[in-house]
Amino acid sequence: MSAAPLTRPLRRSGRARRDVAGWFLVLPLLAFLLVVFFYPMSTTVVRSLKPSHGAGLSLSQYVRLFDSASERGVMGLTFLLSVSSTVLSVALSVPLALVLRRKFTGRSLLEILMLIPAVVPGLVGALGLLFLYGQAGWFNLLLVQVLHVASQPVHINYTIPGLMIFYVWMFFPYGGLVILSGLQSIDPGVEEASTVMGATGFQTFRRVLLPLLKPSLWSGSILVFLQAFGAFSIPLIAGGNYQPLAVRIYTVATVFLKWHEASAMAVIMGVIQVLVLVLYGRLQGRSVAS
Amino acid sequence: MTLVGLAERWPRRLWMAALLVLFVLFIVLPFVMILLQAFGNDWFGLRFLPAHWTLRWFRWAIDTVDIPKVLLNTLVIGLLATLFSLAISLPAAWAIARRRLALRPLLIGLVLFPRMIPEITFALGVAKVFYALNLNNTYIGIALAHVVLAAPFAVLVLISTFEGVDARLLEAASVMGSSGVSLMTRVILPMAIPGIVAAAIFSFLSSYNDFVLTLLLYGPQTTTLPVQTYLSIGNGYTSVAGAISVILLIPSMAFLVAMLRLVKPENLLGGLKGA
Amino acid sequence: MSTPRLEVEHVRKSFGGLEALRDVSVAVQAGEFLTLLGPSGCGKTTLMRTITGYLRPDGGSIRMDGRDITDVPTHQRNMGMVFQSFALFPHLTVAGNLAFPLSLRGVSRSEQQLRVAEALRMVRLESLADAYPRQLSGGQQQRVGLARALIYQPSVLLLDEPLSNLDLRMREELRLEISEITRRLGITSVYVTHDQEEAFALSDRVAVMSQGQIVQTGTPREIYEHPRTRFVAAFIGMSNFLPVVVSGGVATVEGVAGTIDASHLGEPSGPCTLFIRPLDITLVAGEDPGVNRLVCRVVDAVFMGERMDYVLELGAGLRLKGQADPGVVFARDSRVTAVIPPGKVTRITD
Repeated sequence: MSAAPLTRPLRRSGRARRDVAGWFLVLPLLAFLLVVFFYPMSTTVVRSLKPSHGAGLSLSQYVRLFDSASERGVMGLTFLLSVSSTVLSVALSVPLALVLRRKFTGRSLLEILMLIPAVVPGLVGALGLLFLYGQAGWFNLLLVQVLHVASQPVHINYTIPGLMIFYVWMFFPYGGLVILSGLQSIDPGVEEASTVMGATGFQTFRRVLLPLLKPSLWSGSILVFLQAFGAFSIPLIAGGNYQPLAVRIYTVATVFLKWHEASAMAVIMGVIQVLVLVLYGRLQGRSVAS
Repeated sequence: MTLVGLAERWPRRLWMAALLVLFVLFIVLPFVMILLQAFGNDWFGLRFLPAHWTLRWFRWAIDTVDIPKVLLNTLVIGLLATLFSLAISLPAAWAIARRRLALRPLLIGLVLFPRMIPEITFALGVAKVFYALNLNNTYIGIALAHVVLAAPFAVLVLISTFEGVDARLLEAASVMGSSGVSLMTRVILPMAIPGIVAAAIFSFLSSYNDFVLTLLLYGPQTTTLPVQTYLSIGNGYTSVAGAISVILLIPSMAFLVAMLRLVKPENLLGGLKGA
Repeated sequence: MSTPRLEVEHVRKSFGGLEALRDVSVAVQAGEFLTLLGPSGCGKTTLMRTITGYLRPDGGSIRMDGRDITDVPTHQRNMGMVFQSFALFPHLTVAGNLAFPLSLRGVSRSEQQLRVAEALRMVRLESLADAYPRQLSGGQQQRVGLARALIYQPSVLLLDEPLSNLDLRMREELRLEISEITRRLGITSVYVTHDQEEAFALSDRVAVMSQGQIVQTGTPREIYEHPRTRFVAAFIGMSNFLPVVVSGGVATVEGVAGTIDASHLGEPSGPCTLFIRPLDITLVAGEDPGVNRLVCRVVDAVFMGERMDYVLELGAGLRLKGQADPGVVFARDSRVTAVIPPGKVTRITD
């Protein structure tokens, strides 16, 4: 590699020549992704277009999925869990961000704490949550023995509300951090101005902070939604009879060995996710790619 | 009234403290429970703490599921994935960052695409192809699959690293007679080291924490820690699963601390791990 | 004298052991324009915030029209404030920003429209009612800020370095506008700045702050001509300090030929510091010591266009700044006599 092109990366002259050299540098990565990602992906798409028996291409797998009540139920459950955990996560993130944006000792520690669910393996989180909210877990002990608000342990694990709690635990950092940084980027003077002009704390929140926070709320929501939509570890071990899409795909493929059907479901899942990402890109005011 | 103004009013402070305490408990308690499960003995019935403490679950884990072997698998696969990820990401990121490439946005979109869709959606295809090639249940196969997750992040981190290398510094160095290999090794690399380390850690963690792809590709010789945790949970040995989880957690936490020295928290997110 | 509109009494405030305000007292009469002048970190913004109630003083009280408002929350104090950062609501148009405080006060929509139009006329921005703040220049934004702070007829207008984020030309233009509007409305105003020129141009009275205290309050002329401390003198324009010994109404500088008449400076004898503005010193050629005539040597002479700036040395390494008409030029190292008009010398404390 010679020094000259390094030092003039954006010069227009001789651009075509450098482009070619540049593409050579990208080639190994592209070749790898082509072989290990895009080619397998395309086989999945092709497999989803094949009937379970016989030859040729058809949409029969998709037709069957849309006809089947149980598969529609899977879809409904997936959206129910993703949307509800998104809403709950944002509802948790906003007050938390309002507190965390202030400076106090231990604040950075709390910010790190907020990250933990997002960086530990999902399985470990799910296991800990199962312990905590189990029949003999601390949460139920607290309700029954300390607070005396329940006479016997409450069923949380393997229920839909329980799954919602687990999802929130696992995915809210994605929204929380976006909302926190959105809040921190609001000029504090704007709040002070509102208060001096006569707005109460709630009026300032509703009429100034909330409108200014709206873009962050949207992008935070979409990030949480995307994570929750693709959730696998938590529902796999903590879902019980409830199988959202990712788990369903896995089960259909590896337990029922219906790879064609599973492929069709995977394609649907990928398409939905990409559509949401496009929406996210629109909201960010720029394309997802950049 | 805003928080700044009300910070000095006692009831509001109490509310905020209560919120923070609840939040901390919400996040931390699952880990406390894992620790109690992993180190506790004779913990039956409605009790907050185990009656005795023990290391027997760790011994069980080592004896029955051969944890050293599983750990070795996980580390070897992680290192292979990291090396391979860096090998293809470094030149690509350099070109994307510093060359005027045609179709740059499309290129970045293609590279990031694997992280934009749920892992399970492409894991199916990867599994089918790898079975056909007999790459399942091999170190190299699982590591290659993990690179699909690792490389996009490595490229992303490295692009911003290389964009940060000041072109004027390079010019100064080449004016002073530095060129080719020496420019690369003596000027560019030292400036890019933190970014490269970050990319390596990202890559390693992507592999170390991966569950979905590994679950579809593993075999008796290539069980990794996350898969083994899952198997132990399935076997009903919750305390053993807890012990394995503790082992699984230690590096993640260490990496988290290391990462926080290199990257801002909000840049850390976006899929360090599988679903 | 009637009850002041605003009184700050013995206010103290510290942040984690750091004393930002140390027993500050100041009163503003209705319709008066008071400026808090001081370097950054002197506590003037903290004082402003205790007045709005955004910060709660550790001790002391704030009164408005005689009523103690120390415990009244900010939003009930009916004050208007103009911010250094403009602090316009970016999600609202100019008209929306102006209507905001009116809607908080339950003003009807039709009246809101009338008053917004009127306020826009006042700051000459009628054509920009539907623009968003980011589409405006800094000067236009701050005029919106001013209109927004006045539209609900607050009892006191507070201005926190409102011109600091503007370029020089806009700063002067807006300064005149602020002066004109506040005087026309007769509104009680408290202005915070570190710029003495702004302070002097705008204010009826100036309170100079340093290290959490008000060190001197007075009209701009009083402050300029008779600074009470070395800090005030030095902060406000170029200053000369002379260590002298006073005895029998005469001040002498050690090792310098000539004396200074100190009969108007009051009683105590002994060593003290005198203050003289460079502009007040007149230079005469040659050595001619006497009363209010000190002999010195020209160390440096700089041509400044409308005047000459001189650095003079009075024996013993003591230096003096002087200014003179550029018509006559004194050469470097020449001996000259500095003539000091009797009334222009002030005794200051360190």
